[in-house]
Amino acid sequence: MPFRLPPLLLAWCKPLVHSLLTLLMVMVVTFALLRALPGGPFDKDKRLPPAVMEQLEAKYHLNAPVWQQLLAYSGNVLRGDLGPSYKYTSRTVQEVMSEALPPTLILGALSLLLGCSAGMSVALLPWLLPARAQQTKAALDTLASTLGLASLSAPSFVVAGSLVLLFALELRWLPAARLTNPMDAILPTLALATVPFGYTVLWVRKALWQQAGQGYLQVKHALGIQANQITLNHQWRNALLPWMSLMGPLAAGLLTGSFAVETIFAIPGVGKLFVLSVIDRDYPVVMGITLLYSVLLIALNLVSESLLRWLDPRLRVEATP
Amino acid sequence: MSSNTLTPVASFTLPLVGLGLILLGTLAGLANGHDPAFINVADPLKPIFSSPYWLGTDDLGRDLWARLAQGGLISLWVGFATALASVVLGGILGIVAARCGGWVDAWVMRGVDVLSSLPSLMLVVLLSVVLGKSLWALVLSITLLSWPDATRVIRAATRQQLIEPYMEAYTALGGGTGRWLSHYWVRNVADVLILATTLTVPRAILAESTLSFLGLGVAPPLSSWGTLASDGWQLVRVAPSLLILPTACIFITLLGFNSIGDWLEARLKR
Repeated sequence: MPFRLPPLLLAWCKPLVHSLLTLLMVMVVTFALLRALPGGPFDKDKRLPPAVMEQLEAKYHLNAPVWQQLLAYSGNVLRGDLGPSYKYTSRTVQEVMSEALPPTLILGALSLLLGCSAGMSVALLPWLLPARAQQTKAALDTLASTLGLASLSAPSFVVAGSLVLLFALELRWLPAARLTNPMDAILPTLALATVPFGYTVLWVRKALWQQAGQGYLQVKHALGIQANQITLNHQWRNALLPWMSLMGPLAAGLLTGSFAVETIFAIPGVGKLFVLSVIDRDYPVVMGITLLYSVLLIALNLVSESLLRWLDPRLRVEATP
Repeated sequence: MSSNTLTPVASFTLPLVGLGLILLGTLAGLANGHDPAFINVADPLKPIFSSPYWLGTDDLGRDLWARLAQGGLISLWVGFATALASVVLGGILGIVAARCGGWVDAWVMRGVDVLSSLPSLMLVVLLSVVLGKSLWALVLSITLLSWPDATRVIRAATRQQLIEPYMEAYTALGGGTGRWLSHYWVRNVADVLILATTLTVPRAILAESTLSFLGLGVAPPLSSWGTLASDGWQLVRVAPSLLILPTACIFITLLGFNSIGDWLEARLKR
């Protein structure tokens, strides 16, 4: 009898292998793209003498062929070493990134929490009204989708700019910049929360409507189960599925920061660090942040997949051959 | 999915009217005789509704309406060009992947996965630095960002066509791929193509305006709504209308396109 892996292990191994392959490809593609950038990390306004240039390139192994650099880099990454930063000399990429991470992670997590919970409430509210309030339900439902579309139509810099203009410059209620005390987090969190809010409202609302047309809900009603319980236990639970698969990329994006929002609020976060590093050709930092994003994305996708399996028993059945 | 309830859509008229007004305003601004690049040092920072400049002037005395119109032309052009390019690219790859199947399909979809695993706006930032600041470079880099989604959608729709019963009859009668594409495929997936285009336009405009706001978009002789908003941000304390007007243009345009997309999506549900 040939050896066969247990199905559960197989169900976990396959996405894991796929993810590792994707991660490898991401690394190669980014590495190649970076080396294709015109200009090098040490091209300054004032030209360095050729001897110094040579020494610098030799120090960071930039004179070796690209494939050798890539091999050396991958080896270092496997050992958990992301290399030295070219711009912030004498500091490693880990040090530079770990300084930029806390504000970005805090704002990302807060805005994700705020956006999703607010979006969920707005999408769900019309369905929890008593049956006689049909007109209010229709009005709230239209309002929900209009709000969702509107928040996806406002670029983050537009939202951030308007918030600063209104609350910081006109009303002078909240601070306009930096991130030193809890009050400072309010405006950037609101600015970042529009994207998860919009997606959550639109996707959950659409799925709720799709579920509403399904026969099983009528059976539940016929059985005499309370309307709100049907909405929460069945309609909502099923409507969460498409939203779940969307959350992975969304959360990964939010947790790695937004350049526009971080620039407007003068927050030294990852999004800002990335763009500045691209402009300064600080290859190792760019690579580090790209890898961080990809790892986050893959991990969050795996998490949302397993949550999906937990929510939807049909997927569990299909996973076992 | 058998859903007998049609999902109601958001109020659709108002965003559409707004989009129409923006388009008309852009056309009128192009025709109103003011040169968007004409610097008039005598009239800096005129407020809204001042006599020759209906929407005021910026710090160099340039007519804001003319600048908004020219910027709108650039933003809309980038949006449509990108949408068209990514639907064409996604269409070709989607057809090839669905029709060939096997390892071709697997490789195309793996490429799509890899591109989606790169940080999206970060990728555009990288590419816009690689490709320079020309308008075509901008279109190319935003296309690279948006073709994976188009490919996914079109591949799925094409695969659905391939298993339809008419396909079996068509193949049995000896029909070729070329005729199938031009006679049947186009008509049957037209809704998907239109929807993909409509949804890509606002996303491309969003990406363009964000890039321009960051100073990575269109270069100085040209300007887009994003550049205008970025310029306005510098003067927000002196003349808020310089920030408010371009951002309002961006918002209303995106809302208009998103509402059309939302409406189409609800109506064209297969």
